[in-house]
Amino acid sequence: MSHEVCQVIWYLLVGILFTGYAILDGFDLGVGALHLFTRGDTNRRVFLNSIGPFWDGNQVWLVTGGGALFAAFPHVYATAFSGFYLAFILLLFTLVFRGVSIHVRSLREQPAWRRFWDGAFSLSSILATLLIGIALGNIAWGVPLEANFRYQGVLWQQLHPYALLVGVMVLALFMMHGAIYLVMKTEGVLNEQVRGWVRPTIIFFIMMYVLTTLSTLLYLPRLAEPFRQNPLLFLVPVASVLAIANIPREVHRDRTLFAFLSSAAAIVFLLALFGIGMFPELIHGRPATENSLTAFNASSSLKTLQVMLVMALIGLPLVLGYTAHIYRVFRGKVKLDSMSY
Amino acid sequence: MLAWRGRLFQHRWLLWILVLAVLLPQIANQLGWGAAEVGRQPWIVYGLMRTVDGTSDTVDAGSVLISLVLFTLIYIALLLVFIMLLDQKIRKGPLPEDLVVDQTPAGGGAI
Repeated sequence: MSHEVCQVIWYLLVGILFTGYAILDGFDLGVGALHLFTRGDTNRRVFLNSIGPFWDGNQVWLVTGGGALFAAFPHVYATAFSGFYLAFILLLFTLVFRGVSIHVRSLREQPAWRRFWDGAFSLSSILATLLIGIALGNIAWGVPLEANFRYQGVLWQQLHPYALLVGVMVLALFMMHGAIYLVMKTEGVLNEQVRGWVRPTIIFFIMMYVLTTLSTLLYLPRLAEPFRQNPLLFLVPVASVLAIANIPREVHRDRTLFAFLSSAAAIVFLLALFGIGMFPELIHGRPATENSLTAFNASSSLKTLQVMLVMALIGLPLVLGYTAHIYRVFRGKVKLDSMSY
Repeated sequence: MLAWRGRLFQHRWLLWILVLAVLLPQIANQLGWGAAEVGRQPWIVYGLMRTVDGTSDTVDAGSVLISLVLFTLIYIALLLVFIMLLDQKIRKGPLPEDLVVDQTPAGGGAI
């Protein structure tokens, strides 16, 4: 297998890992973002326990994606993790606080204690989601890359309007995804309440999707170039819109699993749009593009990519297998007991 | 030994040592980590890469300081939360169903 083929395969695989992360951690971050919109201790406990068995496993996909990036595209890893140092430290702290909030929130009875950790859980979920979107916005918008892929990042320069827009769009996407997940996992009065959230979160997401698409076409026309050259690719945005349109239909028919899968499909198509537009770049250089990091100039050696490919072919089925198993074991509506959060 | 003589709970000094012993594994853990880190210097990957060659030249000292200060604050905050919860657990005592009643007669082979 030639080096180029391996590099393309790993570009695709890294994309698949981050897509898996967005689908899985997306819903539990979304539940966190919606957490404060429901009142009452029991309701909030149902929210926490709906993601209880899954959220930490979901987060491992981010670690795996980062690990794959480190091994397959070490230059991207080095440039991004050093250049976005403070943003990543902030992301790390939000994830630390989020995990702690979930664990300790119900360990004390005092209302003030629970209110504090409810707030910490929701705020850290929202901040983590925004930061992930902001990172996505930055690698698409481009950062000043010097020779040897050096990038001296400054946090406040990374908070430009386009990055913030992508951040809010990802937040809207995860809120929609999380609301649908909650419809699947709750029952009774709470189920009525979260059903009411599906439509507003879809509208919020579509608004942000339109604005992000518009600004991408206006300010980053290079991302549309592959679609201009190969009009067949226009099927991808069509598919993403159809997947979103299918969500209220499935909720209405009470087929909540299909509604959730539709939302997951929307995430897949959305990230496919991003990946097709970016290919073969991984971090865009701005204003000078000659130092952009691509699948071809930023990867590790052929030998490394081949060994990794063998490991991925063994490991990925195992991961998908136990993930499916865990979701099967904990399927159905949330029931609170003495072992719950 | 003292348990065998049925007087384990009569020595305040011993009980205090046992209370403070809670910290020993933590201290051992941290000191072990510290010894490994210090002992490896000047290497960051032993025999392969020196620590000076492993530092990023694009992350400025200020950012590193900020992250270090934030890490310290967060870990202090988490330690306080941990102590609060541990204290609550101790005050509450074990759950009734977790209590195993010791059936052995006094003076008979303690475990």
